[in-house]
Amino acid sequence: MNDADARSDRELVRLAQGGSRDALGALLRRWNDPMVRLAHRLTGSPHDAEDVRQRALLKCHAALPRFKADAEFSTWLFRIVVNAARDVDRSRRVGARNAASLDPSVAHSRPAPPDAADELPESAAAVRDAVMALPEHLRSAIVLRHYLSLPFPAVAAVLEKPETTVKSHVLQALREVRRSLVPQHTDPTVRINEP
Amino acid sequence: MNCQEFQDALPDLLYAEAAAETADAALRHRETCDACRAEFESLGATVEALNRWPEAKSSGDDTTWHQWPDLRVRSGARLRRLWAPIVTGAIAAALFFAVLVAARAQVRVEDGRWSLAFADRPAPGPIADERDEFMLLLYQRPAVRDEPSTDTAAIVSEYRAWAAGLRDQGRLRAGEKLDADDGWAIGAIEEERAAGTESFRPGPLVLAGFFIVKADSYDGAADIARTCPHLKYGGRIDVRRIAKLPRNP
Repeated sequence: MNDADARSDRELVRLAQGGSRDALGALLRRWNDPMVRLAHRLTGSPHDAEDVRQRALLKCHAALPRFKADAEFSTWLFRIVVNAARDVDRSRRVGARNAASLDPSVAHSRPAPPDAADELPESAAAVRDAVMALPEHLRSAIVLRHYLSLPFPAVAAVLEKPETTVKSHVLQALREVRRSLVPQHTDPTVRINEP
Repeated sequence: MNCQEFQDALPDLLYAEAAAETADAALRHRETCDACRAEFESLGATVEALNRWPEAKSSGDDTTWHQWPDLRVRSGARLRRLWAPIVTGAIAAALFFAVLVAARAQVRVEDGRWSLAFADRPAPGPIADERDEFMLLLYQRPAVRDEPSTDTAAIVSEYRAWAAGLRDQGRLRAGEKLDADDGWAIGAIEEERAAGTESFRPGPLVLAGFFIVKADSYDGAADIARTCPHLKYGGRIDVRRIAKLPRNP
């Protein structure tokens, strides 16, 4: 651990804004793992997560001089990652739509799984697919609360939404995931509790 | 704590963020309410199930930022900072004069003093760029209305989440659930009812609630209505555009 690693986020931001590459490096090293985790949960694929991380790093580097020290750096960074994931998702949809317009057979085929390289046991893949099937606003809320373990006020700060809205979205997301995991007309508690 | 309060507290309860008092009250409620207990246990199991999706491996320490350009303000940017107040002032002055011209202002100079006089303002026209407002009238069968569902709180939460989604998109102006009584009918029907000659009788459906939403057309409003959970529960939604009446002078 060097000097920069021992400093607070706020101090590192100030130094990075003053031109210290060491400070910028320490800051991004510190938050690299949460960024990757967030990107992975939002995209469902390690490959797309890396794309999101690269976009977020570039955006962070470009916008850091304008970052105001009265906000939490992590909140700001997570917001950038959420927006980058949204951009990647959108460009993937546009790509799929364009492919479908060129090749009608694509339009009727099932979408590819999030990442063929991301081989998971069946039960894990089912959870991943259920999360990925959520609308973007529900997915962001449940991912930040559940997988990043951010408390509700912090999730609300990242998403710039009222806390009550975020709680409502998390609840809605859980119900949607439950619906995806549990076949109709069965006892939800029995099926979900299976190992 | 009642069922609605329990449902409102569910996210905090599931993620152990509830205050001790709320958690105690919720525990007591769960002991007496089978529906809320089942919902809590089922969603708790869903929270557990989410952990089956394992953590992704980190892509490692990316050191490419050492090759990135310096973040310090460069000389060109410093120059821009110096010019910024001048340019901003010039733009503000141009806007000021544009406003004066638009308001048909005239500069008068009398006795060495100058003043501004404004021509009579034209009558205000209709406001442009406003989406139409539509009323979604939610009807349901009286049987559905009168039979208390075991999952009422969950259903109400679903409607609320749907409305919150619309509000976030700036598409919701208002929405209310109506009381489950027959309401009042005002007008000639009162006399008819008193005389036993009532000609208008309530239909097979009762009005259960309403939302006022913003949309560009009937198609847009209908698209919103089709996402409402009300349809899932067998209800009917009538969509009516709210008339734009002339404003008071």
